[in-house]
Amino acid sequence: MGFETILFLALGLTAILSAAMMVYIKNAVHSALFLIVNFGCVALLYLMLDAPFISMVQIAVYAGAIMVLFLFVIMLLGAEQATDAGGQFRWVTGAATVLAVVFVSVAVTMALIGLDLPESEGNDPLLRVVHSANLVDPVDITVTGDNLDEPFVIDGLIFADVSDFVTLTAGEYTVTFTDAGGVTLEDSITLENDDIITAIAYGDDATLGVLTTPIDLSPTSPSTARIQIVNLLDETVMLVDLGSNKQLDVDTGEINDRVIVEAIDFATTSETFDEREGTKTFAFYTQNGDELVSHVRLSDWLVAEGTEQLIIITADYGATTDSLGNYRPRVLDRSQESLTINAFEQFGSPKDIGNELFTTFLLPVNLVGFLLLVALIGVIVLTRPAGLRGERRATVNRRRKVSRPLVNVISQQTGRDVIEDVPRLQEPDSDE
Amino acid sequence: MTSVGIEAFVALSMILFIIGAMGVLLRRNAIIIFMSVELMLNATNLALAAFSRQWGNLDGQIFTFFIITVAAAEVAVGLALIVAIFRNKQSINVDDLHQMEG
Repeated sequence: MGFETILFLALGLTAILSAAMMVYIKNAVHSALFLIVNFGCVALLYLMLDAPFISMVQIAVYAGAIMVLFLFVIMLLGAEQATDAGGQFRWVTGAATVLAVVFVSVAVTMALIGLDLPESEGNDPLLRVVHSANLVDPVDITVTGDNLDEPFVIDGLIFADVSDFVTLTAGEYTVTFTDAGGVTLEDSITLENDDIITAIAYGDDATLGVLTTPIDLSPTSPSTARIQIVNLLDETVMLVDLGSNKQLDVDTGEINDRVIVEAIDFATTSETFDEREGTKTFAFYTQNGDELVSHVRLSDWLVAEGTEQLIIITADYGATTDSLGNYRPRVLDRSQESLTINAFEQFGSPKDIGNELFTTFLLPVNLVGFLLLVALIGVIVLTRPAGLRGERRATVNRRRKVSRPLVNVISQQTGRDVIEDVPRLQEPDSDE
Repeated sequence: MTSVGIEAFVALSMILFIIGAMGVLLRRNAIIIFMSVELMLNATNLALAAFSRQWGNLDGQIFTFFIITVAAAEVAVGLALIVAIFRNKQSINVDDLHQMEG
């Protein structure tokens, strides 16, 4: 029996016991206190059900505001010991007990047998493609799969370009890159729910291939971004943070700057790492014996909080070759398309619920607002003091007029007349 | 996914609802009856949140939120009614309120 089961049993039993005591106990104040215990238990159960926001609302509104209102009214009316003896409908007791026994046995049977309900399926997988291979532009991309009635086609992707995310259903897919010269490149991908996949076409002639990288959009820790490096350069590279002087600091062959990733092999993806937000200077190097070959420097690279960056270093097939016939390395500038992780909030979080409330449920939210207003007016009308209207109010006003002037009060307190011969107000005629 | 299945939560919700219904049927004190109604609303909320998790659909939690909001308004009006009735009849025993009896 796991910890959660024990917790559930403890909370559930407390909830049931406090609810039963609430109904059973004679003193209304004790009833209200037992109800608060019950609401607290249910709030904790909400936490177990991935509903932290509802849990907090439950505590604030139910256990807080509503129960304070109840306790206030009970004490205001002095209804603690209100008699419960009524003679007329006592036959209800037997009927209610029979019904309760029947329903509770149904509930318990259901809990024991089980409902066999379908599980949560998660979000549909997302797929995007990046073109960084030595293919003749433009490249057409075709996605085929058993779940697709007709192939999904992305036309005219040029080098270093990235497609938008495509929402697919879980299953097996084949991604085919076809360039203008008729060369095709294909790879099969298995997509599962909640996957967010980037398929990258890479390489040159012999090394052509497709690399798929999953993207992790779970929340990052505060003030950090999550970065992942994809190396599509035909060498093993390392990533160095050059720091504030923006120079590589080498001392007897040792690099003094922070090496973020030691070695990324060709056509592999590095582990994701968390990087503090800020403007950075990154550089890619290759260790060639004792020599460090610099590839690309990323100056003023913006690392924004709560984003997911996929930095792809590749040979720049889009540009001309150098004197030795090699392509220069290049980083595909993915910073503009870095994904905001916070957009994919956790289930049941305040942001998630707020987003739903003010998009899909905007009209009901407005209606509830009006309802609360109407309730407010209703309460004011209902609790208006019964006597204060018509003639009574007139008398109150008249009495106010004959109250003694301030001068009299002062003269009484100081013991001497402030003004000689204070004019006295006439007492009003009672028959008036 | 937690180890506790949805059946347990729904059963707990049903039991709480039945206790609330028993309170409404058996007690004569208007305030206790009212509190029992709150208990029943709360039990429904629990079931909604449980189903919401089961299907990974947020609508259940949104509904819970609306029910809590409406319950707050309902309590305010209901208690105002009870206070008004108490001023007239000096009693909140529901058996005493039978002016509308046929």
